[in-house]
Amino acid sequence: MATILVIDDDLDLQQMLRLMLQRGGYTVVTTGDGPDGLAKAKVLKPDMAIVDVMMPGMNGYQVVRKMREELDLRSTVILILTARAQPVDREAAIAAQADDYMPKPFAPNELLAKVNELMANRGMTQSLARKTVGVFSLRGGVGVTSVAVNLALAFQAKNLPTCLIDLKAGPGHVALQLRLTAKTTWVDWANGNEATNDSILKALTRHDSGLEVMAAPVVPAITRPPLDRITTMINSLQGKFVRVVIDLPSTWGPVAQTAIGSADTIWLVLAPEVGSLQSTLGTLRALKTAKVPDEKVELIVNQNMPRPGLAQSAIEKALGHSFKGKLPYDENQNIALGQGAPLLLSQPDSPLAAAIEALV
Amino acid sequence: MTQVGSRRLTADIFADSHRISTQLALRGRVLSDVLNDTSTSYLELDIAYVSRIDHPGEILADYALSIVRKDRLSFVVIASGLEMALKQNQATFTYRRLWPVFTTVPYFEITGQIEAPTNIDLRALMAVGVERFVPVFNGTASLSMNQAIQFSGELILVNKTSVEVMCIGDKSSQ
Repeated sequence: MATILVIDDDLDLQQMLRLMLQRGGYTVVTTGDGPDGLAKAKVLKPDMAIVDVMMPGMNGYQVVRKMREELDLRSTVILILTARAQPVDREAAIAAQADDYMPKPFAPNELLAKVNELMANRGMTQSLARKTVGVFSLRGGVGVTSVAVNLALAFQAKNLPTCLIDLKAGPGHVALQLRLTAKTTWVDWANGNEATNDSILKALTRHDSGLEVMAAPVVPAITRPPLDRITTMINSLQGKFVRVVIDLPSTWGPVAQTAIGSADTIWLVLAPEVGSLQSTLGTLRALKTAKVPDEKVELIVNQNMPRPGLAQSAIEKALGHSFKGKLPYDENQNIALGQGAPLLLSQPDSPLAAAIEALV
Repeated sequence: MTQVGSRRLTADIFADSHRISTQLALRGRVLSDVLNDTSTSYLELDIAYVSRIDHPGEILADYALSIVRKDRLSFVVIASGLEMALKQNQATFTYRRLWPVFTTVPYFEITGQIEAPTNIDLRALMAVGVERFVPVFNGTASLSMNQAIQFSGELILVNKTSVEVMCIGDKSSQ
């Protein structure tokens, strides 16, 4: 029987939730404050936590953030239940990495339906560890977008529900490479009024493979959307998808840094040539200064030109970092790009597709 | 339908630069009466969750004892719980109707509906004599400089002394 931990300082509400959820077939543990709730969560490892926001001492967002820091509690479904019922509060709940949000007051059957829905979703993805990969380079033309597209398709082909975020301010090329027409881009969403999970999901464009894409604008955005919106978007998509691949901007700005902070792994892509090597060296230093752990960064060498470039050993020596993988030159890649048919789908046996498959 | 979690009135109190979320135990009174009560200049809060207006979803801190100067707050948003915020069906000698309203207070624009006589007199409406706070029904307050930041509620109680501009419009019936 699934266990639900209720953290709410309203004792009457605690009792009502206990009765309601027990009738729904759940084992319920209640507590009235954040620190005790956190301690109980660490011991119980509940399937779900229902957390109030307005609690003295440690508010609900702080509790959720602390829970998410615990490896054992990352798969716990967290529902924020709060009387702070404004859109900005929903956004704050998602930013804190809660899975969903419900305003008080609420009808009992609404809450039970929400709990059942969240638990059903959890059942589907429980056995799959979530992962977010940011694909990055400060050197243009090394094939970051192609790598990101094929990587996302490789995850999706393994039946891992995947979302690909094209985080370029524009023009983004993910939609082009997948021959998609996106009605909404991440910039549209981030500049919009609504910041709910639903609105984020509605902004996605679905590819025939099942891959969901958060597209970038074709026309570059004039103003940068708020950074907290970017965090909210990524957190929300991380909660919904088993894999999230981010095609990161090719500039060392706040957008890239925010997204890098949300990723579990950074695929740092370079081509075997001097300019790319120099950029990668600078990028590694910048990542170090930004306190991005070394083990989070994986080097991917993309042989994007037919002539042989710098030797692997020379690159590794210069960077002081070994490769995660090497992607071979594939003459079919240019054709694939032109046709909007990524190699992983159109020619899965091609050398490049096979190399990416092998890295997943 | 029975609603759970509605024993106390949750209100968002807005001053020029801060949002204070609180849960009020009104002990039989309604919030508008408490705010309009001229025998005290202050509103005491059992608990206050303080946010800055540019990051209104982020709770900076919470305090067990707080006091608000009623004359310095701009407006109060009640997302739900109208019955605990305003007396219903007050008898009047004049025909009244709902008027669409647009009003500004420092940093915010507020839209919604106000209840007023059919021969509305804005000067009379704005007089502070009896009631300092004017109720705006189904209201939305949006930050003037960032319209993405909005607060909506069944009721917004707007401090008349904070009002800079009030416009009554009913284009659809003209």
